[in-house]
Amino acid sequence: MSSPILTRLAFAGPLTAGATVEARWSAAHPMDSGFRVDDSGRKIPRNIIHTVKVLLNEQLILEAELGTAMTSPVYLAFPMQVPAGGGVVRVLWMDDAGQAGETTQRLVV
Amino acid sequence: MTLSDLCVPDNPQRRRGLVWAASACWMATHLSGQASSMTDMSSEGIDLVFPRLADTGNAVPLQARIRAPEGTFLKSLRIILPENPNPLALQLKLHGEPQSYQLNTRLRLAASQSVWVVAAFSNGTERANSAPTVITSTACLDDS
Repeated sequence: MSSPILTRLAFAGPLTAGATVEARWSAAHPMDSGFRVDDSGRKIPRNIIHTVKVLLNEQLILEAELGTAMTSPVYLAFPMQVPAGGGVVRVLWMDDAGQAGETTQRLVV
Repeated sequence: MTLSDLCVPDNPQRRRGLVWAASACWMATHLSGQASSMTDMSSEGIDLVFPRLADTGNAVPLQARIRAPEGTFLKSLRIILPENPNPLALQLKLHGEPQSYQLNTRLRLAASQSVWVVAAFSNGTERANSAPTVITSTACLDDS
């Protein structure tokens, strides 16, 4: 359960102040939907990333609630305006097993 | 095509998942009952890029482009898959007061269906658009 989850955050677009870039976040989480069974026929309990929060310079810009229809790995790409002087983007997540994590990436203008 | 049409279990492939389909039906009805039905909402300003045909339902890419009506901004976004066991795929709350938004993600689909994107704006209005896709195998059942 508590094996580390690899996550990635990248930006696509012009990294200049005021421009809109696309932030692309993905997490290699198993995203067990709770509908599958293992080889011995037991139900694999649901364990998905259910909440994602995105902070730009410690200001909340996006809150996401994910359902079982999100793929594994999870992929979310959303627009973000580059502040003057750049900043730090933090993506916080939490799953059903109580595991939480964070992806941090600097926006260098 | 309305949501209730989508919920009719006419596809023999899906008969094994009747219980889920029934719950999906209930959820879809429940969801659409929240405001006016999303099938009645205007689809203006919502563009969806969704494949018409997908080999599997394991990862179907969706792009949603939303333009808020003049003088408003986008507050929240819901992605609904009426035929999935859990129809609410993604719910976003936006705090940046964007006038236009482009979301890219990947979805798991239990069956061929239309994806619905419902956008709520700062003036309290909602708009919705849908895009159909046909998939040839399911991501939600092992014994399909």
